[in-house]
Amino acid sequence: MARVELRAFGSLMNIFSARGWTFPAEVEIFPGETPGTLMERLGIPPEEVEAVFVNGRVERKDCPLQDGDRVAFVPAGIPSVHRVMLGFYGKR
Amino acid sequence: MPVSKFLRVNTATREVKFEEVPEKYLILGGRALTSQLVFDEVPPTCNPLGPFNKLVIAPGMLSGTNAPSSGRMSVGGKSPLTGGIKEANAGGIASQKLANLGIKAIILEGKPQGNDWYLLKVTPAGAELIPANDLAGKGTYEVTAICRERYGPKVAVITIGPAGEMLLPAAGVTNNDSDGNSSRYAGRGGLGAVMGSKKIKAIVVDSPTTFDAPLKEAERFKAAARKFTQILQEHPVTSKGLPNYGTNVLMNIINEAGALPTRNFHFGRFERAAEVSGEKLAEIAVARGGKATHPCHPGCVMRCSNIYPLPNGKVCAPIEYESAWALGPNLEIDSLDVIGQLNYLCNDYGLDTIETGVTLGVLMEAGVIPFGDGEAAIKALEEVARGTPLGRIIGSGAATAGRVYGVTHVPVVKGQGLPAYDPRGCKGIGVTYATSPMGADHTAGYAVTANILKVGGYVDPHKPEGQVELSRDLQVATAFLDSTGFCLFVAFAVLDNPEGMPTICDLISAKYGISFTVDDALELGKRVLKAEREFNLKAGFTSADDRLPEFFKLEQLPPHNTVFDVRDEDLDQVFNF
Repeated sequence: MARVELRAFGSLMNIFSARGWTFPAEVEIFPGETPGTLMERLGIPPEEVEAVFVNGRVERKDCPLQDGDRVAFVPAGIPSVHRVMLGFYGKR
Repeated sequence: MPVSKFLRVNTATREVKFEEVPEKYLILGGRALTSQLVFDEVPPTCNPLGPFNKLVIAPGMLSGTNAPSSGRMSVGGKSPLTGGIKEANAGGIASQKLANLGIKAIILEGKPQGNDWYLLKVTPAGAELIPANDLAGKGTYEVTAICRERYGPKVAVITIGPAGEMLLPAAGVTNNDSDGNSSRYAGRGGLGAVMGSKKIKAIVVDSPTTFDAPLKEAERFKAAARKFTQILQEHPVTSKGLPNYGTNVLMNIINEAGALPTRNFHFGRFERAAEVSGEKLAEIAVARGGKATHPCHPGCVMRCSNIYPLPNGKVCAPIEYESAWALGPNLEIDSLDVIGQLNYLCNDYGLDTIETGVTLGVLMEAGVIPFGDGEAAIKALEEVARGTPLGRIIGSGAATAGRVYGVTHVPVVKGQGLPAYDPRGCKGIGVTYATSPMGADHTAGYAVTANILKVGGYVDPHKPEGQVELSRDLQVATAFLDSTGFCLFVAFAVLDNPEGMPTICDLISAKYGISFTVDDALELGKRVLKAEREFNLKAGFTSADDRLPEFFKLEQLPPHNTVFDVRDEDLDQVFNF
């Protein structure tokens, strides 16, 4: 069974604590799963997720996930030049 | 309505005089003004602690008005840490008060004989030097409290701590927030030592107004200020991210990116980063009766500061991301309470938190203090106030500590410690660290203009391609924004709203009664950078100074196992404009 290690930051962390999830959470993924489908399935409002890290790199929300990936959801409103440097803009 | 003027203080003769502002400086402010004045008046080869260096303090172009988040202040001079030009930028309440008194800049010059300390008092009635030997040796919190008791509960106090008095090159210049916390630092580059060399312990600024700096076209200005407030309130960075968690919301993000310098820049992730994150800070601060959000100056809509109550009953306000990193993951310290205590001591002794954290990291690398040992770090830092040899080494910065202890893994550029982003995990910022006239500086390439995204598109943070162009554009836009008095955090609201930059230009036009365009803004940014670069060249800098330390090219950074591989010849193109 394929799984990813899931984190979320800032205001999205509240979703984890409200649901009693561990941090990070181990989440099962299905064939063809992407960060976009994952957030939909988990009921995480996509408009609240500005960027997605997969294995420490900012990736598009439709990038295919693999077993063992480290995934993190970044909320809207993170400051700093890294919005550009890490690709929050370029990977929209 | 006050007329704009320079307040020039000859610390050798103790002459204090107001001067008419020459036309070439009339619309300048902030970094544009400090850097231009330093370029025009300070011999680049002078000793930074000698009679020919000057300390210039300037409110931003729009400070003291009701433009939101515009109360930043620039402090400039020749840096005793880097040997080059320096502008350090701070929040706090002094900038708006100076602007309301019509003071375009305070210029401290000359070098006094003798050991007497003075305080410069500035009020609507004028300015005077007052003997201040009774304040010597005191920490910045106590000095600020004494001055607010003596001169009024609302005065701004610009001051230095014992580190500045001892002329240590990691000493900063601080001023207070509205609550009297002496923690708003123009921290980088040792300008506190320059103020100490002038024997000025404090500058007290008393102004009855905060938002009434003169405007040439008041109605136009008010309309533009309203519009700019709306732009900031509509953007998630300035309306949600910063107000909820402050700058330390970056801790988890940069850790996730694998670019969080850990254990003196040996690793890109700290497994206990969440323990010292902004999310954790907000939780603890609120539980202890502190605040997760707090403005560093009146009229800031972003309120990214915080009030963190310490277990010893004191309050550290704020703990910012850079400080939390420097005194936390960089030292493998995973306790916000320890970080808060170290941060408080830095504020009180008058030290730059980033330089101090990087220096402690080098001392840990040398085995002087064990990595992760918060109590040992606190004890070592306390030696600064006592002026012991170890204390003076800590106050002298990472490059000096590395030389004293024979450490080669020393993360500095131009003698200044690297901030909280590893250049191997994010190469664009590495280009900025290498080439900024300021030395390694995370704010030097911060502001963004829309053309970057159009021209640059997506630049892979792990690859060298495109990083030079990215860094150049960022540095130009930042040099402009640093001159306005706006906090750098307005940058993304400005970027994402096509009316952002035109509105800033409209504010400048209305304030000064001129026609100031977006092109003028970028030209000003370039002019600032060119003056700074030229100063450094005349001070003896060469392209060899625009390099990262060797180990960034040689040692791979986990988890991405990357090295810094932007070519030297490409770094040399950054200032090719």
